[in-house]
Amino acid sequence: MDLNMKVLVVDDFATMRRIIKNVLKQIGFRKINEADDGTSALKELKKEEYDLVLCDWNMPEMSGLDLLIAMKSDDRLKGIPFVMVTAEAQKDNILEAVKTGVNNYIVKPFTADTVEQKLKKVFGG
Amino acid sequence: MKENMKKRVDRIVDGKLTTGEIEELISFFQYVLSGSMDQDDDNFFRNLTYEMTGSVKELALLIIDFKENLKSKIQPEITDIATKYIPHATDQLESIIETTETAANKIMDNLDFMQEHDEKMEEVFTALKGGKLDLPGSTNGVAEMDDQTIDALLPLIDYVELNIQNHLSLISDTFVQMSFQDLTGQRIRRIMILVNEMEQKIKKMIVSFGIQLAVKENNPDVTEEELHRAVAEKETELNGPQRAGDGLDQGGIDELLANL
Repeated sequence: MDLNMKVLVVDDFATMRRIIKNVLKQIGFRKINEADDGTSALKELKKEEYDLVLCDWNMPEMSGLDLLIAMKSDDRLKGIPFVMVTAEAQKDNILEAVKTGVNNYIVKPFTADTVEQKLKKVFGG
Repeated sequence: MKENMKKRVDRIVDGKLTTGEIEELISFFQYVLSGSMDQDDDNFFRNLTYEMTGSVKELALLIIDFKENLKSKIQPEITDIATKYIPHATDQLESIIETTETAANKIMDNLDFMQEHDEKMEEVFTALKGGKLDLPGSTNGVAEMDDQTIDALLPLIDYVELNIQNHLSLISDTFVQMSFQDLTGQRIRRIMILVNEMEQKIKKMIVSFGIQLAVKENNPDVTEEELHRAVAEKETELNGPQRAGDGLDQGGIDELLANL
């Protein structure tokens, strides 16, 4: 896993963005940006190159799933790995996200180890 | 008299009995009331009649009492729930989110500070192991240390390094535990949505009830259809400039209650 990759953290709760950023820093990532909803995340993704998106499911206006759908319909963005970080642990939701093309799913509350393991699974080691 | 009774019975049974059946029914009641039945039947029906009369009286009194005290029954109880207690509960829930968010951010500021300093300490001790004393912010530059001094300090350096590692691990774990604020916040927001829906429904019920009473008071012969139309019109008027689904405002309810 290349720790120089650029990561976008998307969550409407500032506390959670801060927690995820801290966990990513502990893992060794240094290039981390954030967005507080799906709409601004999509703008950011279109503006700059990203290697990974960590996104909450429940957000006002544009949910995490909506952002994933929008990314999958954009040729430039559809290849960016997308990890859902959410409290939605219902089977139907997970299946829906997987069907849409999510690369992995982290359930809140998580540990730093869980995040690292899931990301290694996405990037292969 | 008998014709009147026939009409009343016909109205009660909603036209479901023929004239012959109604006449038979009236004859039966007259027979019962005239005391022509044997003693046991007579007692049974008399008791039943008393019981029914008592229940009907109770119901009638309840309705009369309710109608007489309508304003006092609606305003202090239901209206307070819709206009005072529920909005107050919503404010308190919002306040919980704000308070925990502020506290969570303050705790995370402290954790950031501790983490940053622990990481600097780690760098200092790593350099020390290599024979260099390089204190952050020091203007004296890097001091070189001889091997003998380093060997003597090594157990202490290892001990401090281990503790810094443990400390950093606890800080990291505390950071992750702060996600409680997000999780409780999300759940509280869901409760707030539910509470708001309840508020809107109760307000709507009060308005609908109030409009129907007001219209009925002005026109006792108003039909059910006309009542429904009056409610729909008033609700549209009260909803006026609001966004769809936002429900009725306080002013509209106050105005309505004032007119009751």
